[in-house]
Amino acid sequence: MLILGCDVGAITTKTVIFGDDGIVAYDITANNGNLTKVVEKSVDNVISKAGVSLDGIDVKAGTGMGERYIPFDHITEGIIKCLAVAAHRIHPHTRTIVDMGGLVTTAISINEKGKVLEYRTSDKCASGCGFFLRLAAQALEMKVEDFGKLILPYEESAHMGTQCAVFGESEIVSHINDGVEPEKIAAGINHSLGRSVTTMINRIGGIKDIVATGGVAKNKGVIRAIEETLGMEVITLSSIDEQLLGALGAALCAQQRVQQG
Amino acid sequence: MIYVGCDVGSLSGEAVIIEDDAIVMHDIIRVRTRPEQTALEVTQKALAKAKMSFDDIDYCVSTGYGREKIPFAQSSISEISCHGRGAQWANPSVRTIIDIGGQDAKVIRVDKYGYMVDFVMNDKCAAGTGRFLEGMARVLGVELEDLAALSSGATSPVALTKTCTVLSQFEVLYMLNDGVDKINIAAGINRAMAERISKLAKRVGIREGVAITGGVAKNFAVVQSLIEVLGVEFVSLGDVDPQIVGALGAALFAKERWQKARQREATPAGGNKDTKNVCT
Repeated sequence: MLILGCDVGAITTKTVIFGDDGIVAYDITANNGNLTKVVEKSVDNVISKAGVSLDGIDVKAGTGMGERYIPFDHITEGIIKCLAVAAHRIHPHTRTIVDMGGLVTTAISINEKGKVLEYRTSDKCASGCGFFLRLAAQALEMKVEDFGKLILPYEESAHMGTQCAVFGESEIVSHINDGVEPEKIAAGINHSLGRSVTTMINRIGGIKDIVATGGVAKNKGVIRAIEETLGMEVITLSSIDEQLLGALGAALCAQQRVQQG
Repeated sequence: MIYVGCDVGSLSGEAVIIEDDAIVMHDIIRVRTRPEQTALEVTQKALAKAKMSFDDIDYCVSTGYGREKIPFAQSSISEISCHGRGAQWANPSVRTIIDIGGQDAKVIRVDKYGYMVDFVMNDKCAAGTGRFLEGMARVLGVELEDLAALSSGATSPVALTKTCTVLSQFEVLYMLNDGVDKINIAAGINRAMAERISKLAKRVGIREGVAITGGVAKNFAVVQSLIEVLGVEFVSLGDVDPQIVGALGAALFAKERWQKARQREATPAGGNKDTKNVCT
């Protein structure tokens, strides 16, 4: 059975094809322009990688905040459940998921069966989201991928006094004007993100194993900052791209539905 | 006597020159890299227009977030006091000032002398500040100055469900994706702005005689939305540009401080106990 899972996020669209032996193919496309076209492109990419046609897919599932832009019939799954199911499948010891996406950060606690117990989401304020990292990287003329390499102790990093993503951009500019090294500013941003994520994990009483997912989880600087303030290890999954958990979860949830009839 | 008030904000800098009791000249510029540079340039421009030089200034007070860094100012005063003082001078009936700047918003209550009684400020979140409008204009692909005119003729303003500027930008992107009319989106943006300010105003309470100041006061569409949401009319500031009210207040404080300094020189130490301390 071939299942397509598509997660239309805030700034990227992720699509996976899941077969009997795991993920057959995947695609990550940036949300530039018309969202329906973005989804079509991502799906085209993934089916051509898998060497199948859309008709050859048995089950199609969608999730994410832009799920309604998926232009074909599909099963709709909630993103929280998708993340929980996927994290449980890949790392069965997961009890806490911290998903750091483009616009929203979510902390989810799950039980040993992968069922969602409680979650907190930062859907009111874009502070500390992936989009902010992108803005910050632009202001610092750095690649967002290089942010993760900048690990400095909190005391040696630039201080970020504001939580607001918009004001944060101005604060970065004034740090630059004051002659602070870009590395210290980037490290300061990682610490600031780490602190706000730690607060969310603590709110749901996060216990180990803590698994980080989403695009920001690729930034090891943020992961280290969370570990430092939380005092616990935060696991990043090596067997799957951190951004794909939502799409994979959609496929797994849909599979379960179909099998249960 | 020549007094100067210089207000260095986050997005713009203003200078006002007063002579005795009248505004001689003012100028507004976009901020430069450093606050001292902004202050120097804007004051120089205003002085040049008035055919004056720095030597002509008897006393200068700086205000705004960059106020501590202005080398040619004799003293600095918080912009909250300055806005109160400036607005009350422009119209003596003013008791409440709503100041919407580039990176903050304040609601200030003053007494009949223009002295601050109470205030509330948002400088933590870009929603309800000039930066919100700037971000929205960018998403709509229009200049900030054109955002107000864009909303005229809106039939059904959209409802923005998020407060956050960044999240609202994405919400608008989705709307554009869905083919929603830009006119109705622009009207919804003004409404969101007004509602945010209204929440702030309710925390301090509004007294009759409400003036609106700051750069956003020049956006007639936001002002109109605020009138509807708050249910009050704004009093006129006469021919005073709403964006220079902070600098004007600083200039008025400059006059007061200069006069006090002169008084102290004329009075022997320990004398004149009647002088009220009005510095804030």
